[in-house]
Amino acid sequence: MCRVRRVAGGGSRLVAAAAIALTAVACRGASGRDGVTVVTFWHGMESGVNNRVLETKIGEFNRAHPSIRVEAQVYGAADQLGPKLDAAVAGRTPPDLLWWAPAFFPKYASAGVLRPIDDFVRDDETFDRGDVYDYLWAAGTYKGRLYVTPFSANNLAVYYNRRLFSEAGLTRVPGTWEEFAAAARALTRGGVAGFQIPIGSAEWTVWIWQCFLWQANGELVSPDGRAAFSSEAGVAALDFWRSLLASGAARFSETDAGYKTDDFLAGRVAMVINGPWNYAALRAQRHVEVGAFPLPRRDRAATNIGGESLFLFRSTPERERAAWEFMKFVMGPAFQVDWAIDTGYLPVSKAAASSERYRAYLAEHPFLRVYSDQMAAGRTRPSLPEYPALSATLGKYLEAAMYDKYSSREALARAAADVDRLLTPR
Amino acid sequence: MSSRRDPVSAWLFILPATLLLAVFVIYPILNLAWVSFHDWNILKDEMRFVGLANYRAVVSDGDFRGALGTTVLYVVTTVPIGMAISLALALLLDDRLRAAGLFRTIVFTPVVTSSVAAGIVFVWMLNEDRGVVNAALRWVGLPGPPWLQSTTWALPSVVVMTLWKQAGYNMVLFLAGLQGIPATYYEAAAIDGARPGWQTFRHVTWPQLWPTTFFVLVVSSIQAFRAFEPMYVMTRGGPVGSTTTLVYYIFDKAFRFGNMGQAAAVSVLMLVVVLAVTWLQFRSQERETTGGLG
Repeated sequence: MCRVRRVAGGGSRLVAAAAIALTAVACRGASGRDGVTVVTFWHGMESGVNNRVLETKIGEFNRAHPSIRVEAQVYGAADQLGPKLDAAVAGRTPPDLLWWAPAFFPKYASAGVLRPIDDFVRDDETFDRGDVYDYLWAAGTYKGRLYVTPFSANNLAVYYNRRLFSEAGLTRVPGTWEEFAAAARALTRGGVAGFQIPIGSAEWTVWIWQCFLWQANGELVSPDGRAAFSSEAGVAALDFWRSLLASGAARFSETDAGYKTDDFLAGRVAMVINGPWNYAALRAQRHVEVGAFPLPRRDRAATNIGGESLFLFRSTPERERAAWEFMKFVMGPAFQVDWAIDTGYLPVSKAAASSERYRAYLAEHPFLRVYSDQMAAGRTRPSLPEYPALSATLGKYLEAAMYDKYSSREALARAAADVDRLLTPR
Repeated sequence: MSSRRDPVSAWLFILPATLLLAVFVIYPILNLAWVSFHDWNILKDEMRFVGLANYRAVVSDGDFRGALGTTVLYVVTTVPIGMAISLALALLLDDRLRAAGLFRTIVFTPVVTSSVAAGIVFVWMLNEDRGVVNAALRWVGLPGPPWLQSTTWALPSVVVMTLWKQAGYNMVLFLAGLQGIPATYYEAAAIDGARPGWQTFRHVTWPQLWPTTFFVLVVSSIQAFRAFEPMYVMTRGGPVGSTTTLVYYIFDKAFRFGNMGQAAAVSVLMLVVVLAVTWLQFRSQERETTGGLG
């Protein structure tokens, strides 16, 4: 982390001197005298288990590449990264590599701060592009150029508390919206809520709500690039959440933190929507016997494909090349199998997914098989530079509707008007 | 005076401070005003001049008016209540109490606590099911609201956390003010027949303390207008914008919606509002001083 110097470049000499003096102690040079290229890597893995696995894997990489040192730094909650990253980019101190959802990269690609990686992918003979799923390459492409590589894949399904299910006399998991609502009502008793609505205005809420929009045959953005969620499908999706809340069968999550599993693991809610990445942590606890089932469907089944990608920020050819080595290492079958088994994320490599070891593991872990099977119904968020602002706008109105400030129809109409202003070039 | 004869050395003396102010205060303010007339995405270098469009957009935005209202509500609650608490604590701990030093330390501790840590503790305490506040309410048979998730209770919760956090700082200022009041005034008042307690406070302590009170008023008002951390840590401006103050609105505009120009426009408007409030306070101070002598 020696780029502090560059910040001072535009300021006075005095500031530069102070900055250098302050950082001199901690600073050994991005490509130090020892010939080691340092690659700073920001990630937001919150689970302790996953963090330890990542540390181990980075250690393996560093030992296998004596001329490269990947230094990981945790940035906290992924939904709150935007401001930190924007400030870092504006201050010309972004990381070399960033672990974040691919939906957010076009904003940075269109600003010209990301390094396109088509040449690495094409020219590196030790890398097999065909081993990574095509939909992941598509999610990493903006205006015909490839910018990010997948780190791991996931999607959303429902966690359920098996004991509460059997106590409520439920013998099978719900498949449709009606069955889901009925199950939520049956599970709501004795201080337990059937379902937890991921309340808030941040991406987590928006990401999950999109699944319901798709299930009702809706779309987020039309092919000609306008807001499309203010539709009968959108109203149905929002009304569905509101009816669950109004009937008392659902309660709010902690605001903007629906991804936290505390209430579910304390047995206060019977069903929550979440991803496979908590699997290691879920297995390590003894409070709740956890199962998973696919998201309920209305007109069709749908889930939102997530997973994080690695964004490569522009720096020096030397550091970009070193960072690519790490990107390649991460996509490799060896990393992918270990990572998937140790954390619960889904592999991005076909060789990893079809490996004997991973298939045997899936066979023993029906929880993960739910996610793996659900990939077929997966869709991805649009690749738009405006996506972060779109998400913030839609999130604001979704929250307002959940608090009964607007009807579902009015909330979505207002959100669509604001989003159209974002999407139409001024 | 030598400074009048030798302006060069006078300038040299104030040069370091002037330079620091110019670089870290004056230049950023001018730059802010410049940005407010442009359409600018922080990630890009190019800026497009848009005249007053940012100001027009902001003023016609219902969320801006909401944030302004919330800020005013926050200022008119935290400032007077906070000052009353601090003054009461200062009077109580003005060396008349046993172990006053210990109590002063206890009251001052929240000031040196990080806002983030304090905010997280408040979030725990105010949790609907697991929080100690609602546990206490349940114990006496009252239903506790979901404090931070209620559009009614979120702002009062943030106000309480602010009061708790700031009481100690203003208390120290009041203590210093109290100890600066000469004992002879109290003796004179006693000889004139003023009873200790309210009469003495009304006629000796309060007027003598006024310079301190005024200072605390101005500084606390400015601080309250600039409030951001408690909202960021406890509620993220929600739910449904009910704790979105002006600074939080600026943050949202700039970093969530990526609209630097509008964020800068609100910052300029806020600067004007704070300057106006401070000016009004100074105006009333002049009146108070002249009136106080009568």
